[in-house]
Amino acid sequence: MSPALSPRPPASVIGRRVNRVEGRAKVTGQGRYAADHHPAGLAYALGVGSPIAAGKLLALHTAAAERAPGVIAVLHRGNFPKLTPSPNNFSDGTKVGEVRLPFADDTIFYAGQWIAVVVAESFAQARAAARLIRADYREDPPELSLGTAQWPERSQLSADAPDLTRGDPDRAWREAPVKVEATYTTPVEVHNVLELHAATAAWDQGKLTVEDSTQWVVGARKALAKILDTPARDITIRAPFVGGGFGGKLFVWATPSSPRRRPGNWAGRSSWSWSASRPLRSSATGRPPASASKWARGPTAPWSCSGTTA
Amino acid sequence: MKGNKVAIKLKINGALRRCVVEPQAVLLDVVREQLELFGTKKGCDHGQCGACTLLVNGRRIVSCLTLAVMHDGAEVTTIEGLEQNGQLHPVQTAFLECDAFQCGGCTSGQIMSAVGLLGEPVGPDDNAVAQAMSGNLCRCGAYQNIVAAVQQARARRG
Amino acid sequence: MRAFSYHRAATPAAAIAAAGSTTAYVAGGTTLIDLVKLDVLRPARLIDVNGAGSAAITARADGGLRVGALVRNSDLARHPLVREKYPVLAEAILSGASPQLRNMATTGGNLMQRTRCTYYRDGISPCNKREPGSGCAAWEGIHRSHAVLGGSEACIATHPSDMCVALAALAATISLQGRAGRRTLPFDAFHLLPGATPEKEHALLPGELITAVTLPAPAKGERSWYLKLRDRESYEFALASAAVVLRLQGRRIASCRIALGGVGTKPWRAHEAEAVLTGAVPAEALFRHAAEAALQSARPRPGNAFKVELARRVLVRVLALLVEGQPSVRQI
Repeated sequence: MSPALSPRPPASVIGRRVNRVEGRAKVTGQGRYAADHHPAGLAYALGVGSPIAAGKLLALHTAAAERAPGVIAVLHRGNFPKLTPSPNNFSDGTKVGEVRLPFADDTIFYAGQWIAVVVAESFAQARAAARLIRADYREDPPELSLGTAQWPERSQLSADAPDLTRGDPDRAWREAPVKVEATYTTPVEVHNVLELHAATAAWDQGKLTVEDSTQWVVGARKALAKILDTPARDITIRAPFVGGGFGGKLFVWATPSSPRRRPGNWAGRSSWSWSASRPLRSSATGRPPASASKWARGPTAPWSCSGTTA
Repeated sequence: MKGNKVAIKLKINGALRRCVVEPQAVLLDVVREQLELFGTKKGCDHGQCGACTLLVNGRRIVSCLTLAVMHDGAEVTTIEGLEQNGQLHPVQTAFLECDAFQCGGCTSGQIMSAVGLLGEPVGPDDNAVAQAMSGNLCRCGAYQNIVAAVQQARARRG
Repeated sequence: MRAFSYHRAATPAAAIAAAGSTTAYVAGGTTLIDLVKLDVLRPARLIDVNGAGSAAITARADGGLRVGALVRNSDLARHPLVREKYPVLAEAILSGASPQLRNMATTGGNLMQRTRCTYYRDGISPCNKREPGSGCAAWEGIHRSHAVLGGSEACIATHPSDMCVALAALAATISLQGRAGRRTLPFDAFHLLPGATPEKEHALLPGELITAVTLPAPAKGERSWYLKLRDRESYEFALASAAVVLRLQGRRIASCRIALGGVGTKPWRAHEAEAVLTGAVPAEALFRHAAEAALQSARPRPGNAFKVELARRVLVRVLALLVEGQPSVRQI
């Protein structure tokens, strides 16, 4: 039920030129974006990405990085706390950008995939230490084309069951005298927003507050609640200023979720800051994937579509 | 490599600040992390987007491609230093009035770049302004209004 | 970035004394800091030379101009004597990079600019320039922006500087100071062809520091221009560019010097084109003939073959413009 509309619009706003309400904050640099926070005891997390696009991480050498000045910890598969994969359900608000959790296995799925995270007192120290990490890989030929990808069943559009069914599309298609079937593709789009993906997370007596660069605060909260196995009521996601999203910041991505884990006994820090570097951002975080969809239409049949993305 | 840090002085927005920094600490990171002036943004970290633009000794530069240690004793102006006694800088006012931003991610860098431009011999036409602002990218596409804002600020400055 | 130590030199001699096999000079930092962040360059020690040299532009008695190595690119482009006597240089500088980068970059640093080849910069692909003997990923890879002149199977990386193309056409002289004392180099001798050793980019001796660039006095009636063709109208490297310094006498071209950018592994002085033009009567057909001579030795790869014709056309265009008159340097 929509609320009754007021018979007269407020005269103070309609028809007048009004500057953006957040304008002063933006032109004075006072608007706080996700990485613009410095809670007490803040540490900096910098991801180290795989240079290969497919294969296996065989060995990781982190001793030199761990000894580097200012380094608090180097996280990797061997010491990363176990997280819970999100149910990845849009209607529950737990849809995530990447279902696989960071460091879940030794398989390399894409170039830029995190193989380690350096946590240090400053960004400069984290970066200097990251350069000291060595890794051995088995490199496999990467899958570069949608043409060799698997097509799902014709009627399967997503993991969610449809909310509404009407008619019998399969029969209409079978009986259509004229059929038009074509495949349409779209390439990967990288948003290249000015504000890199970033998050500053702080734990305080069991409650987590995340200053996040997200287009979906509710989804981030619900997904993180599942991933971190923490009640949603104990998680606050704040995004008062977001420096562009364009669809690339809709869902929580595996890389941003890792620094949010409650620190265990290897680090006494309760607050973390993370932001992507430009090359890492385009591979490891949000972007519409390349897609290919087959559309089929008969003269009386409704559209049916099956698609795959990569 | 212990004991590698260097003590430097920076005059930031008129105030003398002392910092102890590693040689490899980039000016942008020192401004944000140590001085906690978050108005200057990191958009690419490689001098290609202009979001980190600030003034050093009155000149606009990209602060991500220079080291803090290289500017010991320098005067640095960031976006936070433009407003004086509650009064916005003419460029800030122009950006507000011309709606020269959307998400705001590039805005600090655009404004600092425009302030730097005011001190440079740029031709009077919009094309010259566009070229003179070409070091600042705007993903939201506010370019048209940004040029208008810069022209307004120039005109009002006289 | 990997950690490094930092030393600020007070004089060129002090900088040279501090230099060693693991040090790098830093002035503007726009190339060095970028590449150190990418882990492509890994100096153990940075020697800051911003206070160790000249930032002056001085008129010489012979009518030439001496430009201190520390003169910022933006200052050089805006200097009244540069705009008046060497418009090719002012226009070339202003067509490159961004205003912020031009405020930081120095004359000496611009000479030392490194290639934008993505394989060089990614720190991991086979790259003979970065890791001698590892191969050249660009050869069979994506090489749209790579060189068609001066390359070898070891390396086809383009030299990215606009200023250097103008300096090549101006036949500038580079002043150096090193452990063995001072010397000068003609501009064309400074940058090296990759050959079998693409890691050797410059004719600098270890520890040598650029101290100045000297421009010869312009000849009476000399005109000069720079035109840069690229995918975007600003803030983008050249696909092909041409710098021409020309003097007409009566109906004929009395002298000319030509350099091409965006197409060579070093700033490319086009002697063959100069030979065609010198003493000849300007005409479209002549310009075309000169352009063909300039690109005669081009050896393109499949992905950059378009540059050959593009380079011919930009040269023809600049010649045609200059014969009409002296264009005005952009005011940005």
